[in-house]
Amino acid sequence: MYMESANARSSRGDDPELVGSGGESEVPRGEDPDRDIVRLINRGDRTAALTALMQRHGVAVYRYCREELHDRTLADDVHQQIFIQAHRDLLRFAARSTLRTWLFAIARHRVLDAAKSRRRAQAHIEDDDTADAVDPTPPPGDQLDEARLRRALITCLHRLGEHARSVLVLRYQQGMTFEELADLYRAKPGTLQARVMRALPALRRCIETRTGARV
Amino acid sequence: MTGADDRLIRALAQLGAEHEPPPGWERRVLAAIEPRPRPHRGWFAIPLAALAAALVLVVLWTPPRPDALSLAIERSASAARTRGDVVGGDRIRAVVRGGADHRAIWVYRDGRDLIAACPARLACERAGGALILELTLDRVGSYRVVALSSAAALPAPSGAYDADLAATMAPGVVSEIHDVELQ
Repeated sequence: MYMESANARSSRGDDPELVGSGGESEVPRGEDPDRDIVRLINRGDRTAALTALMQRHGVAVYRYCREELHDRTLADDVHQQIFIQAHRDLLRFAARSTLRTWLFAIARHRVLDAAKSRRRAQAHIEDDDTADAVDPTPPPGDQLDEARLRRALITCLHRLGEHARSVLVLRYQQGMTFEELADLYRAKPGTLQARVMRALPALRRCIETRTGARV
Repeated sequence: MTGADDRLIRALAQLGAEHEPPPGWERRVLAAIEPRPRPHRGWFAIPLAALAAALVLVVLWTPPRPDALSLAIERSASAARTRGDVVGGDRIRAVVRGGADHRAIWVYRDGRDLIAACPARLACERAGGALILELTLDRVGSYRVVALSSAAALPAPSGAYDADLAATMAPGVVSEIHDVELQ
């Protein structure tokens, strides 16, 4: 599986999610929705496969990068690096997960690497999307309007730990199933479901505390 | 699952819906993966005389525009005492001047293995605005020193030259390469 090699390359062997618990059974799943691209890979047509992959998943991967990195320039660079790496590794895709999960595994590692490099370089996170803007105090008990909910959501999402944030974004922004997430994190679907169930109330409490209004 | 949670999930699903990749990104990816002629094929055969001449040029070298990335290889004082070519045990200094906010020096042996990288694996020395990596060449081989610069944070090298080559071709990244032959 891709994650094994990516894990080795990223030298994050201490990440419990990436180490996995071992001995887990393969999650049964249907046919890959990207089977047409998989056929191109099997034919060895990497460029055609990459082109199709970019057309189908380019925007989704970009939004994931933007949400995780909160830096447009860095997200632009990482986004391209993800597809360059995907092209390099396409022929090693062994179909033990869906192609989309495999691609997002690359994306997740590249995003983590970029975030780590940025921390090392002590670069600041851009604030062009009002992530830390102060929300005007509303009348207590009011329900949040969409714009304020979005602002507070972005801020609070980044107050969550990397793991919780990443799982929430992949689950709800990207619409991944818990089985797909299990492939990506090498954890059990139930474990990830429990993590999401814990993260959602925490996220809601953060938003309500920050805005003084009900979600 | 409460109504509030449902609303939160809908908001999560809409997160970043306004973001689109920059125009032309697919073209740039395809350009980056195009097979290129190996620009340094035969670099193992660089004559030592050429290396010596390059070292002389380094001594005579004067900095270009202060903001342009430049890479110079200098023999350290102890190595310079032995005249002539680089020999086993010599120490060299890779000196990077100019460039953008983020700079790095990666050194590979025989076009394959990363043997040193700063600031990713070692601390770079800094002097007068220059970034310096000093290392001992203790094994016969061809050494490639790569200097990188970018306004955005640079990725950490993966350790394999071919893989890292893509990073040097990323948009916004400027690189300089210098080869050193040790026989």
